[in-house]
Amino acid sequence: MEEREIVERARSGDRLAMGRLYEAHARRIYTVVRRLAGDDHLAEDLSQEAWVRAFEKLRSFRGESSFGTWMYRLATNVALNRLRRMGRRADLEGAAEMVGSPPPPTDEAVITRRALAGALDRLPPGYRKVLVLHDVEGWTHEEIARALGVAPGTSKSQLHKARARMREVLAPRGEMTSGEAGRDV
Amino acid sequence: MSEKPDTGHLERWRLSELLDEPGGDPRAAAHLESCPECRREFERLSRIRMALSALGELDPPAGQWERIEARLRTRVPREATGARSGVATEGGPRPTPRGTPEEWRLPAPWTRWTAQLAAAIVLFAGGVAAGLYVTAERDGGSVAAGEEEYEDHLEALGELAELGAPRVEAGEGPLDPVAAAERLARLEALIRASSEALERSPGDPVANGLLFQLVEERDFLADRLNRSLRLVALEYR
Repeated sequence: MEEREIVERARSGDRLAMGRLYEAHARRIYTVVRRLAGDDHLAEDLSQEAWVRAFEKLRSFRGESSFGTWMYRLATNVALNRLRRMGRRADLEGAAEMVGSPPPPTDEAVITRRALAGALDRLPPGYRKVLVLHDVEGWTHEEIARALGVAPGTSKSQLHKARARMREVLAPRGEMTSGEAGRDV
Repeated sequence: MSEKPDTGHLERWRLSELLDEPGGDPRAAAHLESCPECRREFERLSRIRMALSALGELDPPAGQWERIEARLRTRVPREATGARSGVATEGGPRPTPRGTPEEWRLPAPWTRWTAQLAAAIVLFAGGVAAGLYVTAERDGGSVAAGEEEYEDHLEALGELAELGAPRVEAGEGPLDPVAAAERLARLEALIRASSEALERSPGDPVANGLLFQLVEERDFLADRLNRSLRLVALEYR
């Protein structure tokens, strides 16, 4: 059955159709929300909310894009709006401190997925949002700026800072991160 | 090209910029060619960026669909109201809070609250007695006066117990203090949970309605309990 037909059925309240849409897109949606949220519990809450809203608003889905694209945008909006409400102080120019205990130092050649995900979760929320949207999800600075309500230049600046933080956290074993090369301003 | 004047190396933000715009600054790119340290730093940043873009998808928590379905089911079904399916109607059915003021005023089992109140009286009286006798001894004064005060305290507690005797009357019947206190504690917990739910969904009419009713009931109960205790205090004097 084509997705368009499934969407139509879901629109009329067919729970099975809704379930099929969920199955098809749940991983993608949960992944982006989880990366933005930096926390399992919050991610579960946000992704659930996104799905409930999506099925409530299905009538407003006009089919100009795919359901997956529409759902993705809705989910990222839900996540970003909530994160914005949760922590203005920790937002873009906010918290300087990393959260939680540092991940173990990595070997020079290997950056494990676990270390990377852990470092990402520990970033201050403002840095994490920009880094996830740009380096993980592939958004442009213009798109990020529109979504976060900032100037593209701010998005770029935050991205550089976020990368610098990741670099520090993921420093290889024994490496001094305060070396001459690549010092922050 | 942005160099740290004292080191001659590229700043980290410049290296990060080069990741996204390799041809953006020819001088910086040229420096990278000739400086092993900057090149190593640049490669490190590049590896991190590539690793980020290659982060895989995650599985949603087990049972998430069931939880979503459960939430969708609390919305008014299309057949019931003719409204759009899956859409919560404004002012839709609100869950009835557990017990209205009329309900909890129904007679509580005498055995339960009597035993609880009796235990409280024993503990309280024991404490009062110990305090009074210690005071009397310290003062070298009237043990008899302490005993009288002790009996007054017991009488006050007894009157509180009398308040617990059920009378079926709307609104102004006597109050079971133990049951009322338990009820208040339950209402507070429900209010906290509803407030947390509202933080997640501020516009949710169900959560808003429930919180309003819970707060209303709690305030009503607290007010009645306060009035009852004041009555006892006045009579005790």
